Amino acid sequence: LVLIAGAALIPALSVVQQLGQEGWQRGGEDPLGAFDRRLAPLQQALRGESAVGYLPPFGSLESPSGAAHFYMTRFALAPVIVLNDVQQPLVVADGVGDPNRLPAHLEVARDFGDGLVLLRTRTR
Amino acid sequence: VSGLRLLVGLALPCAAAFLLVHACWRDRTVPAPATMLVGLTLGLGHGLASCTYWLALLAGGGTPLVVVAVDILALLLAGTLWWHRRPTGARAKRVRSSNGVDLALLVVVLIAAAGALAAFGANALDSPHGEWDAWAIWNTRARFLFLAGGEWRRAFSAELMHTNYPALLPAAVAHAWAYMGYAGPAAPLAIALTFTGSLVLLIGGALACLRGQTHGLLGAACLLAAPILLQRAAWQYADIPLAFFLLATVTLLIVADRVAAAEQPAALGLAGCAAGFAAWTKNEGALFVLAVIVARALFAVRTRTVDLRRAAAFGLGLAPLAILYVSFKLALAPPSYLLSDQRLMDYLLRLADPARYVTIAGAVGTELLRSLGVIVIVLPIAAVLLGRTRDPDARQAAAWALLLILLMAVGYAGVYLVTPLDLAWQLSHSLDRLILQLWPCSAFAVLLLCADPAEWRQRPGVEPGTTRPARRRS
Repeated sequence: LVLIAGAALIPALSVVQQLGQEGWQRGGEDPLGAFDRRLAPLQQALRGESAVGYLPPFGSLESPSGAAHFYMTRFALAPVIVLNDVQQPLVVADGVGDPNRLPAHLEVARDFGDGLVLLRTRTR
Repeated sequence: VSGLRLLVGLALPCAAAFLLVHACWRDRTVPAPATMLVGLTLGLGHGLASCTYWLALLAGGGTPLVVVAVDILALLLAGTLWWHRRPTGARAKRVRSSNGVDLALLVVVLIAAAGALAAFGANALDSPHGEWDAWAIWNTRARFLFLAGGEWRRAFSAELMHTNYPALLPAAVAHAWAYMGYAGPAAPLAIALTFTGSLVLLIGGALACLRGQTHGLLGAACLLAAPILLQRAAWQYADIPLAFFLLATVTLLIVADRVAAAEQPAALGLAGCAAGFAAWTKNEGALFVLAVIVARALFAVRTRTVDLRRAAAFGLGLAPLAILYVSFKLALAPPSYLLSDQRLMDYLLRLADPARYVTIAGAVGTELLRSLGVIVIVLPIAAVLLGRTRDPDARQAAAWALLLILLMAVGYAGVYLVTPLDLAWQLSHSLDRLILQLWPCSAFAVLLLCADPAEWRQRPGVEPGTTRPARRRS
């Protein structure tokens, strides 16, 4: 019984020690919450759409940061399905600093600021 | 105001679950400890919430008015059932054995629970939307269900991630959001916290009911000793809800063996319902339902107690959730990665590869220690020191539960053996969660098998102290 009681106290003591060292809020502001708030106007603008394309800011989704950004965008824009595809009529681009990097068939439909833009297929 | 609305949204299905539990467990000679009742009420309440929300989606796109109407209907139905089956007669007095040991253990459990709560608070402040799987899978799907209106089926589009996973958790979260009025992190956090609390209350209450107060406190201590539980509680993954439903099924089946014969069908029905919720939470839950059926059948044959009426009672409780699960799989869910584009020869080649067995065994050993900490060593030592109980009912129940856990472990190992994904990657990303799913049932079964301190102190051949509640065999 003493063994089990001792084992039960270890994680609790470890938590107390960790909180003593790092404080309650270790990472500062919740990054996903901030991201969600930043994309809220875009989500409103996409109301009624069922799917939207996506232009990755980090080149591809293979890197951890690329994949994280993609899934965070999906989370923030739900219930619109975000597809990793620039051939959709509407395409979301976030953090694409250089406008020359935009695919030739796309033009800016709306700029939400801070590098967040909604692109659409260029009309002839 | 939204906090109050969230509270109402959580309370309505929990009230229905409370009535349902009381209607199904009314044998007052085997009284349920309050901790077990609270645990069952909260956990089954979330399961019920997911079902009423699913019905509301089918009936009217999940608008708040429809959700409230379905919830009230469920409450009325549960209330009617409770009224027809309300307990009569005097409640048996529980023989309490509060002593110095129990008091000391209670203090330990309270300190450990405070530590767990602090860990939950710190993690929740750090990541209120949960960790990767929570926001990338479960909460994203909940958002689709809540925000898409009539287009809610979009949540299971093949374009999205893991859409073949069942929907208990996202539907329960969306249900709470329907009351709150917006998709805030408070709802999934509240659900994660209550599922974790229910799990601890359930193991403590179930062991107190079946083996006495000391064992109940040891069960709670064993859960709180696992670092993975403290870490994952606030991550908002579906593994703690699944662990809850696995434990609820096992404990209710064992309780059903102990109540009066006339009360057994209702208790078995409730166990079937808990097993159905397990399948509705994650695909591993469907494997669990199969394992329960096989383990119970093997035991019934071995002990020559085959009783089709009992099996039918379990099936009756399971049926609504089984229909929900199967219809979801047929109508909405894309095929699993395990089955799509795979040939029989692929499976056989992987099964015949000895290196895969070595990799899995090595990963299990490492991960058990990393996820569960010292308790994975301490519990077997304590079990050996305490010895086996002389209670034949407890020994038989523990043997059955251990067989069930073994079947689950074999099933999980089988999936790893045939997976088309990179084995090392899949082990590193999922094995800890499988351990978390099975740990509460494992700790429960081991403690059920152990002698209590009164037995341990007495010499062989002397009747143990009467610290356990009265039991009755059919």
